[in-house]
Amino acid sequence: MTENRTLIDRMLGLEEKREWHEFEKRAKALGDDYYADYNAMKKYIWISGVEKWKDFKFIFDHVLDLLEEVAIDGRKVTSITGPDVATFLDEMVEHKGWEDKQKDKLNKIMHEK
Amino acid sequence: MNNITEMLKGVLEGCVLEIIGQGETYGYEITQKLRAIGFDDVVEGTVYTITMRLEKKNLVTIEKKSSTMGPPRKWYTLSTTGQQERQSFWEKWEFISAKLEDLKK
Repeated sequence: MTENRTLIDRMLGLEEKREWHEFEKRAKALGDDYYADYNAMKKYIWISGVEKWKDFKFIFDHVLDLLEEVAIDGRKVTSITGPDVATFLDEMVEHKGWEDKQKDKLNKIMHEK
Repeated sequence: MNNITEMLKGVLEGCVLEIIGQGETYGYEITQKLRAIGFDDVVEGTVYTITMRLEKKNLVTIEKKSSTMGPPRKWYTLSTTGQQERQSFWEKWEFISAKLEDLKK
């Protein structure tokens, strides 16, 4: 987790860091299994192409809402997301991934000329 | 009906807007309603990402209410822009379905 921490330190300001820790606290409170789920999903979202903390915050908050919801009856995350968690998260971040950015870039260049 | 996920994609948001427009409701109930009218493929997660998008676009207002059993639930109602979006969805739908009927003739 050390690598992650330095990245976060570089990316986030004081207020953002406070919010980040608030999310970590909520995630840890769910117990080890769900915390592991949170970390796995967090990692995926982190590389999803989302750029602004405001957008991360919105998504993490909803992921945690979801986890808190399943944790209460000890259900699995997949009971809500369906079997394809990655696609579910793509929908959540509205899939503005690397490919989409390349597409936007190409179209922009083609129209500028 | 099964295997209509791709075709349903653009329409589901409108369906959710309509359901919320009919009265304050929460995610699980929305899912149940969609399944009850025959959209068997819809899972809770589908509705989850849709309500999230509606929230992001300020089309809904949310109230977190605690429930007797289970976690606090998010109850959704349409905002003014949400109401407009609901109406605009039906206009688009009427247009498309009229055109498709013409095509079939």
